[in-house]
Amino acid sequence: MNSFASPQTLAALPFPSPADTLYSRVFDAILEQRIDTTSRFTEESLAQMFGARRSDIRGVLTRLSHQHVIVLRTNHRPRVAALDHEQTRQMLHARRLTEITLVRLACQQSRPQDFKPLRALIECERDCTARGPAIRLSGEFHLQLAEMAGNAPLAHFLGSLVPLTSLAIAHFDALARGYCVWQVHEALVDAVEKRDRQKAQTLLSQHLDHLEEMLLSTGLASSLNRVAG
Amino acid sequence: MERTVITSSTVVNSVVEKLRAALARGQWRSGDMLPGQRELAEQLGISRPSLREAVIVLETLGLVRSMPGKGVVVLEASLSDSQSHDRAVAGASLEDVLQLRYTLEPFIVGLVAQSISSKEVGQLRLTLMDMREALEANDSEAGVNAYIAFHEELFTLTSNPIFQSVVQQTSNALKQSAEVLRNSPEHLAERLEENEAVVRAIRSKNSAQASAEMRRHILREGQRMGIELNIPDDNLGS
Repeated sequence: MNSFASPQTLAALPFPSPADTLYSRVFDAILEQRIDTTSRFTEESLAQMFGARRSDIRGVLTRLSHQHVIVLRTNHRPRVAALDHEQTRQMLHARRLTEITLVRLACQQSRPQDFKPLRALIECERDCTARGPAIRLSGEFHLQLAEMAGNAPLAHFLGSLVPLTSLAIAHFDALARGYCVWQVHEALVDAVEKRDRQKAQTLLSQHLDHLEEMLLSTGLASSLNRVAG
Repeated sequence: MERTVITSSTVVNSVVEKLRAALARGQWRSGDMLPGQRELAEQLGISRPSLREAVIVLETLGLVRSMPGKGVVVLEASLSDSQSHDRAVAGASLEDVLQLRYTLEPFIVGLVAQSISSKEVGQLRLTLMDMREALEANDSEAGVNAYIAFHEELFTLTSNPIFQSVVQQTSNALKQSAEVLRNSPEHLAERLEENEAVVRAIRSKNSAQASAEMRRHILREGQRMGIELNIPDDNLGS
């Protein structure tokens, strides 16, 4: 009784997945607001912008639309999703429930070999943070952590929430610095490795509180004012 | 099963082979729906007409069946061995799915209770009536279908697209576990009762109560299946 509910992501399919790097580049462009909710673009123009094949761009857009970052509708141009306040609230709450369960499971299920890639990712974040906000990498950290829990459907669902959180954070570009730092990630991994459930839960919970405060209490509109937090 | 595939196009042929290999690997199991035409065509990098042709070939081979307006459903395959090990890697157990349900559904019904209209409550109650009728007619298949429909309606009522991917997953899982749900007719009565309690709470717009009832229902569901869930000792995040 096994592969039901297997996530329908590109990665899970047995076909060669479109270059992950193209996905990262396009998503980065969205997170860095080079492409935003008001941008008018087509597969064609993105293909030119990224020097990629149109079919590869299409694959990337499809993947981003599964993550609700891009909205695809027949006979319409693709566009970057715009979250309203209520959707952001629901998304963050769903993320809290999902991720806390996952971290709890990770404390029980993780294997020693799981930690090496995770620590390498934190290294990467650390390097990137020196040069600017590492929003996408930070999201990837959370997804890799989720993998350790050994519950594929839950991790898959988190996979559809994390990119969306990244998008919401990007709208707060002025405040993006320090919203999710590698130091916090390091502490979280330490707790999971020591199987300290309480500590891991508390750290994650605080981290999500911080996100929630940033994304909700000020309201999305204030991001335009670039008020320092 | 080697059969001659009658097609002129090499594109179609290679796609048929890819899909066959994926099916053989247990990428999709019987009862699963293939991804939508558009999505699949994009993933394979082929045109939709080519994909349609490939699907017709697979249908001829008895591997899938097209359901007009619904999609392409994977049939019971007579392919063996190679299936099992890949499954364990990519797969999700009944326990995983229950854990997912326990994590999210109480929250979902809480949301629904806040925003539901009386017309929508009516719809939920109709679905429960289907369940009751199935119970009285001793029709366990109809009972399971109504149960899955109820579950899907709850997700739809949130009208938040972020929950759509998860309802697809859990519905598929429920359909897959329909056998487990079905061989226990006496459980249908309990299931109905628990779901009625959920709807009563939703109806009185009591979010906390609705969440609590849903939590109780999923825990009971686990007990009925002999699965013990990993539940937080505290009520963090509830």
